[in-house]
Amino acid sequence: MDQQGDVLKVVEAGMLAGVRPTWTVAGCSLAIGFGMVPGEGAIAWLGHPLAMVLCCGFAVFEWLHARDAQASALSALGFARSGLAAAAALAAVATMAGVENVEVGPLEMASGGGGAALIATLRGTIRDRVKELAHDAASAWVARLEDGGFVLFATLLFVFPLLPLLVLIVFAIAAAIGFAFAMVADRAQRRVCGACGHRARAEAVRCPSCQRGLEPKAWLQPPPRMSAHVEALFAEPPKKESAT
Amino acid sequence: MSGEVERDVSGEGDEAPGGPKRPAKGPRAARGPGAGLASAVALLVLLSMVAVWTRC
Repeated sequence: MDQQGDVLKVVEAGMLAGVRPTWTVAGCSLAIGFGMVPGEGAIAWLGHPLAMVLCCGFAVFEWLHARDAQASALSALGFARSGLAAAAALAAVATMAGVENVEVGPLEMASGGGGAALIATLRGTIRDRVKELAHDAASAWVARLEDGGFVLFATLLFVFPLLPLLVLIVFAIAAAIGFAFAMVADRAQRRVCGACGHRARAEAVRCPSCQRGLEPKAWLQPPPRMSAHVEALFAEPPKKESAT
Repeated sequence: MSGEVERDVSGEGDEAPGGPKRPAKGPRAARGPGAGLASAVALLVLLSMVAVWTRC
């Protein structure tokens, strides 16, 4: 493969860390430890048996953590996830550069690390939206989708490096369009607090700005389709089957 | 409906003596769609730059 394709492969290996940072580092650690990849320089310690065990332990922890709705809801971990993804991306970029024999510069590091941090932030916001709509029950399904995406991305990376980039571009466009629609819908549903003028969400019980109580409009006024359905249910008594 | 008890939905009756309480937050206040839009656009820009740089 040409040099540009190898560089793309190196950068994409870094971006892979945005989905599952510890899995990426564990993969690098095992590859270096078992001698499949020349682990030299700053990443040589990843090939140490203790590092291999620790990396695999962290990977199992992340696998469990992604399925735990309560644990993954801690705010501090949101920032930690993006930072962890960026750090893991640097390890992945350095490891893949050893495989492809590519000289790694700041541009590769910045692209891989920045891409991983952005992917980690984006998947965090998508998880938030999914949990808002489908509550905690969706966490396990989101985690399964992410696992599948990681494995597919990692496989395609070696087989056809251009495809993961195209898939990511399509994914980013779709996410941008989806979030733009969500933003418009969110603004349309907000209502003005009578005391301070803050635009609070429809389901807010208190104004987040002045703490004054708000009438929860969303609870008392369900969507027209739903209220019409409920009224229809109460208005008409259940039809009895006519005796033949 | 007769006998209906009016619900206090405003939450004004349960304020602490020291002043209004802070709003009860869950484990994390969910990030709004603006954060998602910003990260999606930033990712798109970065991917486009990588695509141009690697001459895909």
